Amino acid sequence: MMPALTPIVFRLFPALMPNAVLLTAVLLFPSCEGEGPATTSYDRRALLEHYADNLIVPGYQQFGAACSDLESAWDSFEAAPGAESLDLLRQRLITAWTAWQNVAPLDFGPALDRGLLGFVNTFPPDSNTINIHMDAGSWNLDQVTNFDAQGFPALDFLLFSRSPEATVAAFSVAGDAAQRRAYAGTLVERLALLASSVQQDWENGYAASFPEGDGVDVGSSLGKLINAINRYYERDLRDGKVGIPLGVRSLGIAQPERAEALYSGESRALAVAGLVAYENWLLGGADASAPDAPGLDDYLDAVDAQYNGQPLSDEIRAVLAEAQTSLRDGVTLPLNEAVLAEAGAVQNAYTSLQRLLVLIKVDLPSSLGILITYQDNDGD
Amino acid sequence: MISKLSPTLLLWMAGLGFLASSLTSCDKEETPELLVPETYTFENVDYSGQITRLDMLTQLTNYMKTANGGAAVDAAVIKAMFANSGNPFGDAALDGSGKQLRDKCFELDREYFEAWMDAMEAVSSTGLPAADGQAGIGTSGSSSWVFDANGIEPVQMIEKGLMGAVFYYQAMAVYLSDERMSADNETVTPGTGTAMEHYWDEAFGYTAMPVDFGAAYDNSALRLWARYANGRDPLLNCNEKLALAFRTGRTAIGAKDYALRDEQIAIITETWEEVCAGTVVHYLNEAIVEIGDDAARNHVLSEALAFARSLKYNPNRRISLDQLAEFEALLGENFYQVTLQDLRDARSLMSGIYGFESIEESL
Repeated sequence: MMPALTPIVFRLFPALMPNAVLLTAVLLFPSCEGEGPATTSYDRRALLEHYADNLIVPGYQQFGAACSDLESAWDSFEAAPGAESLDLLRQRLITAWTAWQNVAPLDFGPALDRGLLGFVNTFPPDSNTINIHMDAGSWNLDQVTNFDAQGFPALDFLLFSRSPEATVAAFSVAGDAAQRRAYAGTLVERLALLASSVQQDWENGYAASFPEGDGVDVGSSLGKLINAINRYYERDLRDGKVGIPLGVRSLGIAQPERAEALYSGESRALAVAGLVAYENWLLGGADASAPDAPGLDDYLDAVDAQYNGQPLSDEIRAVLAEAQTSLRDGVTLPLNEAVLAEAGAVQNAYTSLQRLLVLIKVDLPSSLGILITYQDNDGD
Repeated sequence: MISKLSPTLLLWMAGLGFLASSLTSCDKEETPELLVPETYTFENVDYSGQITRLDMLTQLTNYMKTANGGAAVDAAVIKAMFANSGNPFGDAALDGSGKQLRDKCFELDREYFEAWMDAMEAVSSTGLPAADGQAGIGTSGSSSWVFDANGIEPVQMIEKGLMGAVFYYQAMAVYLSDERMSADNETVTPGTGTAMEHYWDEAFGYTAMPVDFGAAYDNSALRLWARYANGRDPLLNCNEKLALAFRTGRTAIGAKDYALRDEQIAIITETWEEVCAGTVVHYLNEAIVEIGDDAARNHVLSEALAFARSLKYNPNRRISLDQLAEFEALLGENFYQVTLQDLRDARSLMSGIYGFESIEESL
């Protein structure tokens, strides 16, 4: 921009030549909007390093290990299908699905490049397509149309939709048992491969370069992180786990069949785990063992961000705790049942989740000078 | 007198004289002092015909979008608005303007758009949910759009397509062409200026830029191309480039400085194309992020495809028609069948052509 501008100005305003130096200085160092609070000296780099090294990489390592454990439980089950091996397999599925909650919001960088979110957790599963794949013996899991025929939700369907005895039979003595084993095996392998690929991407370079983008511009690491966790929170946590089954997108009519983990009944547990894990991104993983771990809340304090005369970080912590309580203690059944039998409690939880969204999508970004870019604001 | 002065003194006088002249004139050529105004404010500016066409496209689009709420739309009505025949807008200012979109649309594509208008009617009346192989309404969050059986959204193909085939095409291929820019620049018609000035103003009109357009403009005050420029502005700095180039070019025309004018045409040509290509990359990014949500993904992919097809309307485009074909092949004919790799390859292709690599993820 500057090189094109300067000659024109000097050609048009020759009288400015004596002031060339001053004018050049003014032209070369304009004040840019969106640069955030200019007066803070908050160490964003340290924040990003902490997130990458102490939260994100360990999160992906834990997730990778859980998927690998799932794979070995599958191998055992495949070799000797029975009540015990199925029980272990089911447990390992839920453990991996729970470990996923820690990294699910990080839909940027390696996870986005590899389509992790879509491949790992698109629900509800399309049982029709899953059956077609097994019958045909062939499938293309890269196609977007097959996101809901793989990952945790598909395995949930395959391993939990029948009683333990019937499941064992379906995988061992039934006529199509071989195809069923082939498909389930593929899904498990694919999960483990995706998990370890993203983990390696972070370990082998992305974690090191992440703190280098330490501005607040669109494309900075903080910008990517805040946009990603916001988008996930709004679309996948508030809506996907709670709002859509509750009926907020269907004129108040509950859609229990759209809840997560329908067959294993783990939807409430996963939602609670998701909301607890979400704390990390807001508070930096600070707890009794590491009270000084830097988090977005500390950054907000450093710029003296306020909410109704109080520190914004306090309000965020309070609403987060309230949301966690309303979900964990207020709702007692799996969400597909709760949206029918305890609709009021689920509505309370949704309301708390909504309150938190406003804080993290509006107040937090504007206090830090981060632009939320994922909303299509082109008027469509 | 001069012979009385010592050679040393003469040398000093010559030196000082040279120094003085070089300080007061930094150009070798004798250019007049040109003052480029800070806003697009000149004498005899009239681009009302262009604004009328911008309004027409807005109305046409609003009508099509009633389908998103479940209404069945009529292709005959859309085509009537396209051609401004039979008072289709219900608005005397438009109906009676004597202007139309159709006769300014790139000739060879008028029927292409009318075919999409037929498709628009067809998809709007199925009453079914959109799915692979089935036209209808797709919903994501609180938004709904109508798609054809391949997941393509006719509203986008028509709206963004006409932005390209009418506004971008007219500005780049007609008004700022050598032919129009060789028009008379002496006879001033009150209200519209010289012929050359008027053509320049008309090109400006098609950008939809407000007269005080500049960096980080209020998005809610913008529409059409200006709005999309504003969307890319944080990374491309296109608002200021375009606004200044248009103001400078108009000033140059007034001063009969055609070299300066042509420099601005080059800036406009390059920057407007970058806005279009940058918008393609932007929508590809959205598609990647929304890849698992059929309706959202197909909506933004339709935008990406429509903007990509609009790139061809610039005769001095950087992208080749072969590259455009390659891009379209990556998106494929059915948006339910895309893969993540296809989208990433399409993004890389577009970024590579326009040098967006370092910013492609953030556009």
